Formats: sequence, C-alpha cells, structure tokens
Amino acid sequence: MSEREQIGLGQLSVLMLGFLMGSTLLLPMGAPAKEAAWIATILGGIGGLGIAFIYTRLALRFPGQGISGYSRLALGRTAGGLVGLLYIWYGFHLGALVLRNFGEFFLTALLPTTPLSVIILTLMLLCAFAVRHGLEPVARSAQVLVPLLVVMVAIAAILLAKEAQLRHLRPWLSDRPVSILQAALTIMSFPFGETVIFAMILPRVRPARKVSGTVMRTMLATTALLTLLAALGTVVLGVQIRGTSRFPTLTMMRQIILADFVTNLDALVVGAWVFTGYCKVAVCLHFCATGLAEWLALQAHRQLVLPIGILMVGMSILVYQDVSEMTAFLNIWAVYSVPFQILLPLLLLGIAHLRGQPAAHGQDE
Amino acid sequence: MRRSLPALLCLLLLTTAGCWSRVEINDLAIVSLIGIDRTPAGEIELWINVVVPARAGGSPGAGMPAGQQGTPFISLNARGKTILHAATRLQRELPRRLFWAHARVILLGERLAREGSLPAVDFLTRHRELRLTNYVLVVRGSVEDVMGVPVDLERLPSEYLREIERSQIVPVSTMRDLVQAMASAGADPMLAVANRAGPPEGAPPGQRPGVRVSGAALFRKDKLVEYVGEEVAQGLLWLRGEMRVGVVTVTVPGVPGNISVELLFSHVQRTVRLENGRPVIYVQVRTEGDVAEEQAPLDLGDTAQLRIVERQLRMEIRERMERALETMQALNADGAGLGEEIHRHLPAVWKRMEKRWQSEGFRKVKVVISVEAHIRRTGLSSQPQGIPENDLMKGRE
Amino acid sequence: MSVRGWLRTLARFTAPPPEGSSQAVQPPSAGVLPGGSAIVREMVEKATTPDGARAALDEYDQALRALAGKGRVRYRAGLLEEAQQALQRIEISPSLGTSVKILQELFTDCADVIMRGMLVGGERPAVLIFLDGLVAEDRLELSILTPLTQGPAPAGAPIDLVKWLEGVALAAKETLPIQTIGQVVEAVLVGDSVLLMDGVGQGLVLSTRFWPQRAIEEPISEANIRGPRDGFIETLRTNTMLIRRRVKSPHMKFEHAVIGRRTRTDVAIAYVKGITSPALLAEVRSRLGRVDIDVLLDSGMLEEFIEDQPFSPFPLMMSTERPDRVVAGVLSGQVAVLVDGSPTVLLLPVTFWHFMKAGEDYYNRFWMGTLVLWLRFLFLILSLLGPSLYVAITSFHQEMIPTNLLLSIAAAREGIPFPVLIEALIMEVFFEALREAGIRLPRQIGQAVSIVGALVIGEAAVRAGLVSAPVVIIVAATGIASFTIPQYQMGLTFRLLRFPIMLAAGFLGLFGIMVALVALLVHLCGLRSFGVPYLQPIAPLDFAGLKDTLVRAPLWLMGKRPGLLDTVNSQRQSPRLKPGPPGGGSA
Repeated sequence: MSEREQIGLGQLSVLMLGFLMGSTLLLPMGAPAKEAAWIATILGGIGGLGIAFIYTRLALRFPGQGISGYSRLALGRTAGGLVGLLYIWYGFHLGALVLRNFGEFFLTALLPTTPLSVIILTLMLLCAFAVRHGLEPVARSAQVLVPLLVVMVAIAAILLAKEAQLRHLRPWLSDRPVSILQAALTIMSFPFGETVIFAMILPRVRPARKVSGTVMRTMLATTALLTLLAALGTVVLGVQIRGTSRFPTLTMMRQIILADFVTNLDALVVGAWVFTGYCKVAVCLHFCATGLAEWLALQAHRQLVLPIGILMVGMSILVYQDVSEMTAFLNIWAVYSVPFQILLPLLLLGIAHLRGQPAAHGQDE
Repeated sequence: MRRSLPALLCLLLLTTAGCWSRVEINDLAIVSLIGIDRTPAGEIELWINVVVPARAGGSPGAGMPAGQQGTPFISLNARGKTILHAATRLQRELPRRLFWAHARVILLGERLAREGSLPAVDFLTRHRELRLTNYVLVVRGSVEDVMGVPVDLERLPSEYLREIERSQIVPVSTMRDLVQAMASAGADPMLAVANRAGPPEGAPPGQRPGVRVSGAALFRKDKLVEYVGEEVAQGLLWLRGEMRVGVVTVTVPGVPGNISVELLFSHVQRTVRLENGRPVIYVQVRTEGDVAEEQAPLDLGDTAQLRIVERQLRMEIRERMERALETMQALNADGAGLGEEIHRHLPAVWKRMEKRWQSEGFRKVKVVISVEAHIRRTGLSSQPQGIPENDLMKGRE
Repeated sequence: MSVRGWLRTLARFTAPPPEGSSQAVQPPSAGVLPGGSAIVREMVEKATTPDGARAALDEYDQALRALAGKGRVRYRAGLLEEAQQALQRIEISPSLGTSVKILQELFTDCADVIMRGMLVGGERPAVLIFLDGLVAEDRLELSILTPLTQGPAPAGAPIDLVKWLEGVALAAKETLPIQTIGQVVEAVLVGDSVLLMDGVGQGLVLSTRFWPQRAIEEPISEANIRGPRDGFIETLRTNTMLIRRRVKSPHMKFEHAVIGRRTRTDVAIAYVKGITSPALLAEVRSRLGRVDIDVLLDSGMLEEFIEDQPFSPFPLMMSTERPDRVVAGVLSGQVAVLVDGSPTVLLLPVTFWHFMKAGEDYYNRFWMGTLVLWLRFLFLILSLLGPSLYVAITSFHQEMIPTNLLLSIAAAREGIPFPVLIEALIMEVFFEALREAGIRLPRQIGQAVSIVGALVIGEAAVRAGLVSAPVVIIVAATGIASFTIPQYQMGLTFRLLRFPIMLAAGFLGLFGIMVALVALLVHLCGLRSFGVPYLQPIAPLDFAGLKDTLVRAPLWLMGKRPGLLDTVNSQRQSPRLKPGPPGGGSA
C-alpha cells in the first residue's frame, strides 16, 4: 500500500466519528424509548463497544489483513471467500442505504423538486472523487470537516438551549422500560455496529497496536455526542413531535432562532450535513473497493471505485419505493446486521483462537 | 485528465437536465399571514396576506415609482375541503408561487377553534416551508377582521402580531406548544387571542382601527372552550411555569393608592407528591421584582414596610393563580398541563388515572400553590416624591 | 536588453554557416562577420580552419538545427550539451588567425560582438572579444586596453605570456585562463572579455561584466507599512546579495544551476545548511535537473515544471519579491529558487497557510497579527462563497432571509429580467474585466477606468433595471474581500474557484455549494508541495504548528521551527525568551 493509503490514529478517530454521525443525524434514533431515548443511546453505545472489541481483536490478530484476508485464513479458501463476499455485499448494501437516506433527506430539507437520482449521483460522484484520491486525503478532509461539524452541533445546542424544556425528559424510564432495551439494541447495530466495515481501514492505521484504544475512545465520544443530541431532541421537541418526525434532528434544527431575526438557519446547518453523508458513503465505498480488490487479489482498488459507486447509486434508487419503507427498514436492518456485526466476527475470532492463528499459518503481508 | 472525469460528468448532467428546485424571488408570492377559519357550511376557509414587494420593500420614497403606493399586502381568501385545496384555488388567482416560509403568524378563526382546530394543524406542521416556531393565535370573531387591518409602526399586520408575541407580555403559543398540548392526554392548549380593536369611543374621526392581543383562549383538546381575561391569563402563565416578566399592581389594606411591581425574574417549580394514594401537585413560584411605581404613602426605605408590600405581592400572585386554576377546573380545560405533570413524576399513578383525567380527574385534582416573592430594588426613590414627610406611614411599633 | 541580445546571437547559430568564408567580402546571404579592425581582417585572411575544428563545428551546427526541427539529426535530450561538448573540444590554436576565424563563424551576424585587434607592446597581435553593452566600457579601456596597447612588450618566452598578462600587464579584477573555443563563447556571452594572443594556446577571461539594471525598489505586489522596503530585481547576483546581506553565515548556500537550452539562464538554489532537510534539497535538485526547456524567462515558468500537482489551481510554491520573506523562509527550513532575470523568488515547500501570511505580520504586535489573520480567513471565505451563497439563498432557500431583507431584495429584483445566477455571473465577469483593465492600463487611466466602471456603469445598470442593487453590493464586497488575501497568486486562485462554485450553487443551491466545498477540500487534502501535505498542520493535525497557523503567537513562544519541513535542527531560539520588567522577568 502506498503512503496515500495509510492513516494515523487521530485520522481514524475523526473518520469514525464522521461515519457514526453520518445517518444518525438524519434518522430517528431511539424513538421507541420515548423520554429515555438518551439512555437507550448510552446503552447502545456500550453495546457498540462490545462489537468494536470483537473486530479490533480480529484486526490485531491478523495485522495487515482485510476482512476477506482473515476470513480466508480462518475458514479456508472457499468458506472464507464466501464470508468475504458477504461482507462486501454488506458494505455495498449499507452504502446504498446511506445514499438513499441522504438523498431523501436533502430532497425533503433542501431541494424539494430535484430528482432523487441527481442528488444521489452528485453525492456519489463526490465520494468516488475522494476515494480515488486515496484513503489519506479522505481522512484528512475528515480532519477538517468533523471538528467543524462538532462545533456546529455545539453551536446549535447552545442556540437551542433557549427552546429546551427539561420537563420533557420525565418520566426518566419512560412508560415501558423494556422499550429502552429494544431501542438500545437497534442503536447498537445502527450506527455503532456498522463500524464493523472499518475492518478494511484498520489494517491501514499506524501505529497498528493502538488501534483498539482509539476505536473505543471514539465510540465513547460519539456516544456522548449522540446522547446529547437525543436528549436535546427530546427537550426541544417533546416526545410526541420527535417520535413522529421523519427527520427529528432536522425538525429540531428548524427550531433555531438566532438573535430574533435570523431564523430558518436550518438550510445552512443541513447543507453542512453533506459532510457527514460524505464521510459515511466514502467509507462504505472505500470498504467495497478495497474489499473487492483484496478478494480478487488485485493490486490497486482505484479502478473499482467508480463502477462500484455507480452500482451503489442504482441500488440505492431501487432499494426503497418510498420514505416509509426506508424508516421501516431500520428495524429489519438491526436484525439483518446481527450476523455481520456480531456472529461472523465472533466465529472468525473463535476459530482463529482455537487454531492458534495466525502463528500456525505464519503468513504475512 | 482522468481526475476531471467526474467533474465533467457532473457538468454534463447539470447542463442537460437543468435546475429543478430553483425559484426566483420575483416568482414567489410571499405569504406573510395565514388565517384559517371554517364556514358555516363546514368548509375550510383559508385567508392569506400576500406581500407586494414593490410596495413593501425598499426604503420608502427612494425612487419609488408613482402609483405603487397603497397597502403593502393583499388579502385573499378561498374555500376548500382542506387547506391545500383552498390554497390551490388561491394559486389559480396568483401569477406567482405561494411561498409560506415567511408566514410567521397563524390565525385560527373562532368558529374553527370552537368546532375543532385539528384539521388546521396537519398542513401547518407537515409543509416544509412552515415551521413549528410559528406563532398561533385565536381571533375573536372573524379572521377577516384582523387580516386586513392596516397597521402603523410595522409594515405588515403579521409583523405587528409577531412583535407583540415576541415581547412575551402576552401568552406565547407556537405551533410546537399547540401540537404538544393537543397530543398529550394530560394537557390542553392555551392560545393568545387577537381581536380587532375599534377606535375608542369619542376618538377623533380618522383614527384607524387596530389589532390588539389580549387574554387567552382555553381549549379542551382541539376545541376552544372559553376566553379568559388578562389577569387569569397571567395566573395561567404562572401555573404553566412560563411567566418571565410582567407587572403586578397591588394595594396594601388600609393604605390608599396602588403600588406597581415590575417582575424581573420568575421561577416556577412543579412537583407531584402522592398523599393518601392521591397525587397532589405543588406549584412553587419564586419571583423577584422592583417597585416601579408607588402611589401609596409607604416608606419603602423601611424594611418592615417593604415586607408588607412583598406580602401583598405574594398574595396577589397567589390569588391570580388560584383564580386561573378555578377557571380552568370549572371549564375542564387543563391549559397548565397538570396531568402531564403527574405523568412525568408518577408514571405508575398516571397510568391508573389517565382515562378518567379528562372526565373528572382534572376537576378534582388537588393543587397546592405557594409563592415566594421578593422586592429587591425600588428604583431611584425610596419613597414617593412630593408627599410631606409627616403624611408617610411610619414603621410599625 | 542583455537577454534579448543573447537570444539574437544564439538564434543566428541556426543559420547556415558561410561556405568558404575566407573572403573579406561576403555574399549578402552569408551574414555579417564580427570584427572589422584591420589587424583582425588581415589575420583571418591568412588563416584556415583545421579539420578537427571543422568537424566539431559541423556537429554543433547539426545539433542546433535539430533543435529547430530541421536537418538530418533528430532532437533528443542532451543533444545540446553534446554540441557544447563539441565546442569544448576545439582547443584555442596558438595561431591567432585560426581561433578568430572560428569565433567569427560562431558569432556571424552578432552585431553586438566586438573583436578588437591590437598589437601588444607594439609587436604581438592579440584580439579582445567582448559583447558591446554588456561590459563596463571605462573599466575595459582603462585597465585592459590602455596597458596592453601602450605598455611595454612582454619579455621572455611565449610560455610565460599568460603569467605576464595576469601578473604585470592587466589591471582587471579577475582573470581566468581558458583553453577551448567553447569556453571563450561562454565567457563572452555572460559579459566577460576574452583576450586571445598570437602564439599562446590559451585565452584569458577578464571580468568586465556590467550591464544597466533597475534600482532596488519597494516590491509592488507585497507592499507593507512596517519592515524592510527592498525588493528583488532582475539580476541574480544582486538578489543573492540581498539575501546574503541578511544572513552573514557560511551556512547560507547558493547552489548554481543553468536552465534553458537557449537562454542558459542562471538559477540559484538557496538554503541554509544544517537546517534544510537533505531529502528536500535532493528532491529540489533532481526536479530542477529534469527541466529541459528552451526558454526560461521567469521563475513562474520554472514553477510549472517542478510542481507536484500540475493540474491544481492552487499555487504549490510561494513566489515573493521580498528578501526578508525569503530569509525567514530559508531559516525555517524552506528552499528558495532564484532565477536570473526574474524579480520573483520561489520558496518551497509551502502549505496553504503560508499564503495567508503577509511578511508584515511578524513585525507588528502579535495581537494585531492574529486579528488580521482571522480577518483574512473570514474574507477568504467571503471571497470564495459570497456570490454563491447569495445565488443559492435567493433562488433556492428564500426562507433563510429575514423577512424584511427578503422584501427589500424582492423589491429590488422587481423587473430584473435575468435569473439571479445569470445576474451574478454578469456582474462577476464584468468585475473581473474591470480589474484586468485596471492592471494593464497605465496607472492614471487605470483609475479612470475603475471609476467609470464602478460608479457610472454600476449605477446606471441598477437604474436601468439590468441588475439589482444587492448583486452589485455582493460582487463589490467579494471583490474587496479577494484583495485582502496577501498573496496575489492565492487571490487569483480563489477568484477562479468562485465561478465553478457559483455554477454549483445555481444548479443545486446550498447542497451544490457544500458538495463543491467538500470536493475542493478533498483536492486540498490530496495536494502536496514537495512532499509536504498542503493543509498541514490542520490536516494532518499537528498541534505544535497551530500557533503559527490559526493565530500568530508571540515570537518568543515560537521556539521551534515548523515541524512540517522536517528540518535538521528544529530549535530556532532559546526557549525562555519571554521578556518582562527588570528583575521580575525571566532571563
């Protein structure tokens, strides 16, 4: 891998933060938990730590290997190859869904009469342009964008503080405490578990041995941020409005009134969410391109970026008929993700552990 | 060159397909005020004020072509099954696309409010150009009365209403508050009331009618129940925990003259405790203010006399709150969201009484009001000017 | 002047050589041979060109024809060097006539070459060759011609003649014995004089270089209030002097290189040994080494051949006219490239943030420096996004405008026939034209143009309802904003980038702007200047570097050199330099 394909710990951290913030800024998070959405977010984040623990173990055990690399090492060529291919599909599917989410979001919030395909294609071209530049430029751009994003969320939070009504947080455990757990499980897989596709990026991080700690810290920081957002959404909008909104964070941002005359800043804020969409889709695209290149044993992945991107656009347009399907799929997604996020990594880790890999193979890069 | 391929594709796409969501400002009919009412026949009647930019914008008199004078807005109305239905009919009369984003004030007609304002709410929260921060007022009488009134000081009636609402001296209710209260089992909406204020009797001819915002309208769910006066409205604000600033005028028994206290800070704490298996709501008000005007011969430099005024203030506030509570309970309209308070603090208890809350729970609920009021400052004077020293009340022995 | 003279001289080389040019009278097509003095003419008539020299001259001629795309030999890299090697093979003959004849052939039609024949000490023939106008005439006459023609004849054997000339006869500042015709040509073309004497198989280079040059003036593009006012000029030597005068250390190095096949332009690589990273230096040398061009007139031309990313709109090296800036640069680990004939010096590598600094920032108080820096960032964003935001907001997101402002804009736009995008584009293009016209015209007319353009046309266009007043305001504000960028090149870049972003805004509104911005950012993140990431220290993040990037920290806090240049020695100054009142402050 060239120098352009290596990133540092800090860069990994911001990239992951951007990725995690990605569609969570759009879609309803923890709505079933009602008043306790923020508690569900914290629980989800803790669950996410568990998932992260599994896949960082894998990355440490097979240094320099991507997902199909170590699944082949652990399961043998055929089964491992199949698992690798499944993961590439997962990344592809995820990328397409995220594209669609953002497409629908921008369509609703900014450009009501623009064709969906144009928005999605524009976003994809941006990501393909970036991924073709290499992982490092993507990570560096995240280094600029993510701090900006965090600052923006902070400013929004300050501006919204006036609108907040803390009483909306009560009763603390909502009416049905079980619903908190349900919501937490959903949050665990979306967004936290989705970081499993960083498997193609982790081997490119230097120094490799500190990766695990960085991933954990990033997860914690994101959990804090998302918890703040969930709580903010609840106190500003109340459970009723937040629960029925298609894009609760957008609805929340629409409440911002600055200095009594500048209102409706949401277009600006929302426009900036191109950043997060970019982070998430670019990571998915990079995962698919590098994963496929590894699977096919190709030297370079650059040539794969645009074709995969175009396929992703097609997939994202075909995948849902309407916005209701999109929100409804969130629940299915949580189940659908379980094998990819938990079962398969656990299986790989277990087999590798039993076989004493990778020492037995002694295979290196 | 390979790098420029995406850019090239992008450009190609854009130039061939055009630009979709773009609307020039000149092609917008900017709606500044929305009024929704119901006709006796049961149809929705939509009133809008559309701004005429040539008359409303720009600095007055600077190069304005002649003939452009006149009211800076036009009022239109149409009827339909839904609001959008009516809006589409209106659109046929307008060469420009209706643009709702600058309608910051929404008026609900009295008939609509009495018969149920639910039909109005959905469009106002679903449309992307309309916001939850928009102010909602009930018009006493017909919406038309307020829509077309030319106002002074501001260019548009909507600006006029918005500025008044923003000053927070009247009950502030936004779309968000309305929707929250309507959806909650333990709260009912309360909206500000606008009405046309005719010229005062005996006013010189030529004085124009104006718009006034006063009092509040109490709802039971989406239906208007009754209007209440300003003092009850103020008490309601206290009960809701929304009182921020205001003026309370008190008298001290045995002393002639009024004393006005300007409240600068108010904090309301609402808690619920279970007493004998029944929830009791405690509303604790803590407020601070300055004496802004004193017509009574009291020496406020004397701490003891100041305490007397403080006590009167406390009693006055409490009385207003109690009156508001009585009014609410009499009308069975929970404008203060007391049921919601029980839900928040005692979710298990609430689950039991939720069903009966509307029918009888609210009427019977026990509310304990306690007020703590402090007068911190007395302005530039410690005692009224112009009163001989001997006429002043002396401190009590 | 001098450059053009050389060009003409060299251009003549490609003309067909005179056939059998032993006659004094040449056919008109054969060109005019230099050297009209009687002594020279007489000598040349008697001389013949030896076969070895003839072959070398032919080879040289072939090579030059190949450069022009003619002849049998095809051009390949290094051909010119080989041809010059051929000239270097021709030794100076002891017979003066032969050497002069060869030189005459090389300098055919060079009207500015003078071959002054004389009899040294009244007996020994000699020729002094120099370029008219490129030598100090008084020095030539006083210290060379006078002692040679009027002094005594040399005594002793011919072998000692060079020593005699150097030691006794000549009063020139610097002398250098040379052996070949090639060296003679080189020496003459840079303004030295060459003395050839009959019976001596050597020539003597006498340093007589002198040409008129511009005085050292305040740099036009980088004026300042506080700080030194001298700027570079067109002469390389003067420029190195300006740097050397500020760095009195033998570690300040100027490496010499020659670039340009025809122009043979001198290039100096300036760096400080012990600070500059050797890897960087090696990279600069190798990149300069591969530049094989015909003409090098300005450092701007060199820049295009040694960039990392040739298609980027961003400048990847700093060009400056200020010696203090160059000195600050080389002392922080940068390398400067000076080109003869160009008052602009290249500083590399650079990052984006270098372009946000004016030299003056370090001379003013740091509070002011920081404030100005922030102001520049603000206006940088405005200059990039001003019109785009206006277009996006007024034609896509009208809800963002406060109601009263919207009404004003709507009133102003009543009756304007164009969409906002077109309106803004018209005004922007017009503004750029105005600016361009203002630069090229003489200063007095330029001002008139801007007044007419800005006031009369702008006002009239608004009144006539062609464009709306808000657009004029936005474009004017953007224009002013773009002038606050201290580096002219970066200002140009941002002016250029404004247009694609405006188009993106016109098609997709804020979404388009954001997409364009992220694409721009990705491009910036991928850029490197001589291996240094363009956005460092922001991306990749380097906390230590931020105090000279996002703020201008006090000088006594900046003890280390910038980390991004990988300097050999990172400590710039003593770490505890914070001043204070007597006794209370630290040492």
